[in-house]
Amino acid sequence: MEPFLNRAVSAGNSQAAVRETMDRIRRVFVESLQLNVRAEDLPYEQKLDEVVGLDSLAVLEFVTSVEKEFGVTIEPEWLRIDFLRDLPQLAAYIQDRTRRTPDSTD
Amino acid sequence: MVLTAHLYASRIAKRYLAGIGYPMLTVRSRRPTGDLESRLGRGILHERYNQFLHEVIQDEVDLNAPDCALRIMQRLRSGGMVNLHFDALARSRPVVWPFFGVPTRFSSGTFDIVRFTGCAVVPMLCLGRSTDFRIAFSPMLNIVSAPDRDGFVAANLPSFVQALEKQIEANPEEWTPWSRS
Repeated sequence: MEPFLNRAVSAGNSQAAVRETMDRIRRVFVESLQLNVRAEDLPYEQKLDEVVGLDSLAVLEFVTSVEKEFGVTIEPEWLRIDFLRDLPQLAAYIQDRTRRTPDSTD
Repeated sequence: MVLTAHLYASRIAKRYLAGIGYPMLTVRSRRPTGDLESRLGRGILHERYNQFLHEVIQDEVDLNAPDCALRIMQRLRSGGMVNLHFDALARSRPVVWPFFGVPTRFSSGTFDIVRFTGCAVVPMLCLGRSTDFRIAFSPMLNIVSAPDRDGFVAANLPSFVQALEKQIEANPEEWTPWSRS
């Protein structure tokens, strides 16, 4: 298993599920920011803000697009660039959030 | 989101509100502008000015920081307040609208934050006269939804501007237009 997937998978998510989530996040990233690159060309281990320079509002656009795509709300303590730029980490978090039932959230 | 104009008393008002349990994240630019763009201004004066303002405001985020919008969102989602001086002259992503009849650059990013977070927008008036000190909150602005970004800005910009014009018209001596850059 690639090292960057270790943390995400050991958090209780299957490798296939994490990969699928990362693929969706990559697509959202490219589409929401209207980037001229193919989502599948973005390496999983590359930090998202290394792909393209992101200004402050672009990050917000990306965050809200991810939330819309997965039907989750990212909790305030995770609204940090160092967390959101890390694709495997973000995917693991999204997986965890989507697994929680509405009754058990927050 | 708390909307203010550059009024004399706004900083002391925020310190007071923080002191009684209502802290407010202030959004401001730490970049030198206008007269402070000279070598002396950039190297010495502006840094000292920034340091001074930071000590006064304390709870602030730099408009030019890459995580500025995230920190605003973080504060709003935590149930906190964020203060914007909406009469500041926008440098990036400006939208032009008459302000006291003069075409003026306003920040369109403000509307992105309102649109993405769905926060309420409340104008705050702060007056610090020799006779009295007042902080007054107006009813929240009616936010009009729109299918896209430009439509949202166009639908809501006039009421934002009007709210500030109303405050300044009533208290012109309290406005510090030179500090808007």
